[in-house]
Amino acid sequence: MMLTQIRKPSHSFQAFFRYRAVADKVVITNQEGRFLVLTKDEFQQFSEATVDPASELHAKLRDQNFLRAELNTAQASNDVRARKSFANYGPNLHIVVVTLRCNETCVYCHASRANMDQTETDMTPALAEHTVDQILRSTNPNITIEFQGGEPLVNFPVVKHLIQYALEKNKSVGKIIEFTMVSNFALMDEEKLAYLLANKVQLCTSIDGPEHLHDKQRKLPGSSSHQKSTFWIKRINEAYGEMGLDSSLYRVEALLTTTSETLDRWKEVVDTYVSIGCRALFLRPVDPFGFADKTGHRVEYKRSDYLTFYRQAVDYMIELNLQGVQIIERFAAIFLTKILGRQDPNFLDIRNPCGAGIGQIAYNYDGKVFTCDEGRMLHEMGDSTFLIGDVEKSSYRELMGHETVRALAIASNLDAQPDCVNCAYNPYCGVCPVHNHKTQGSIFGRMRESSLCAVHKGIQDYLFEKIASGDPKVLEVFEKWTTVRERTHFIQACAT
Amino acid sequence: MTTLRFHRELYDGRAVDEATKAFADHATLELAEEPQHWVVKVGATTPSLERAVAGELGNYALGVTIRNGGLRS
Repeated sequence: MMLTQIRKPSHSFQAFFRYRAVADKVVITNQEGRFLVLTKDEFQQFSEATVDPASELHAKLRDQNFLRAELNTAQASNDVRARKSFANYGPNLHIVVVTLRCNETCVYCHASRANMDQTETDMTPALAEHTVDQILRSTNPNITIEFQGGEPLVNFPVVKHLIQYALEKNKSVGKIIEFTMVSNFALMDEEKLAYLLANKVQLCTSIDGPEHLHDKQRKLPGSSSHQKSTFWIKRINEAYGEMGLDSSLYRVEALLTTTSETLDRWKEVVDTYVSIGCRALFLRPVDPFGFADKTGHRVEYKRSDYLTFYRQAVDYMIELNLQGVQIIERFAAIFLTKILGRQDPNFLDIRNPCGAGIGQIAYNYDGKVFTCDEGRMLHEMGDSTFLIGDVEKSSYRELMGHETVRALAIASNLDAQPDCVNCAYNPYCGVCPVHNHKTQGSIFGRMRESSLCAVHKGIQDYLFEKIASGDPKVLEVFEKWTTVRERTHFIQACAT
Repeated sequence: MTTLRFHRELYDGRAVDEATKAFADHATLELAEEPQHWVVKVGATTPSLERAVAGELGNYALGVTIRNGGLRS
């Protein structure tokens, strides 16, 4: 290209854009997250500013705000404002570890569980109250309290106490509260379930695939952890039906942790989820936290192998959807909601900036407060870098303005992160500074070597390849996956 | 008095020093060291000034840490 051509004013001159080759096409995205998939010839015309103003390509570029001469700045700013609306509020997700004790032993346990006799790792009722007091100080009107562990059912009296205290206290505060519990269900019984259903606690569990694999990875002394989990998944789904809730919407959510043993079993994993009545599958790679740090030689794998697994599993899930089976993949749904739906579903681990402190807070059994669950996991491994306070002593302002929270907000700002700043997937992506700190020794990380970046980029490559192929049936499935249906049943009645 | 605690894994000690010098005319600043943190105690004539200096000093220290290329071992 001649320098004189660059200087020449053109109706085809580009507005700000980023690009990435995907298969035999080129994806371009702009600051506000609009995208186009261009052929290489179209991309050459676009990059050289030689697009015919009367052409269909010119119209597409104009409509998606890629042309400087016709840039709609009001639309762009509205799009960015809508995408970043989460930044106006404050922490919505409050993770409460009511105990570190757990009745199961998982080969990769990220939480560094404690043995069942270590009752000193139980949260006390008094600390539960202080925790609720701290949670209700959040500036966010919407509050989700998530019970985690360990296994929260081990300390069920404190779970109940915390729920009752929160509901009572909220009468004067007026937040919109939801409760969720992540449990292996092995200690569930009808009495506990009746309480959880009556108090609208959303339930979530882990299923690592078929029974033999699940039981090998999640050991429950004297019993099959898979049988326990699947029994209660079915029972809870049945109970939702008995309560008159829409069975297509109200289902127990289950999470997969992908280990090296999972990779060849992508079809078995998907079939297991479908057979036990799950409508969503989250193909999460194993994280380097907790026991997984020590068992990495057994459970870890190359991220390129994970991406092959991911592609095979999601291809199969799309095939099932085309046959009328409803099953979505959560990673895909999160990214597609941003790509196609132009909304941010506020998934805190894939957000810019990330949710550490400003979107989520984790409260440990002993009252210590962390920027996020990953920060708490590192604390259990002996690294307290992400400890920001104490439920009894710290003010909300001290927590939110904490030097560590500030550092994480800056470190997870993709517009200031080398590589991310130029990446076509910038509008849809997010980094985890705690993961960077653990794996690379710096909260800023180096994306070229980051396993998390490899996963996020690889999944988005896959999704854009599918979008670029233009198969209307696949796009219809993707559109369905981006449909967000609120589960309003789980919202507690608000006093105001 | 407001206490700022800069974790040594996240903040460069020289950046904290530089930030403290930059705001020395606006508040009483006491530097201390803990095994895991650089600690700065901020005292000012009014609570609003103290809050403002503490906030800006924190931002300054973060900015200088980043400008310096993060932590230097």
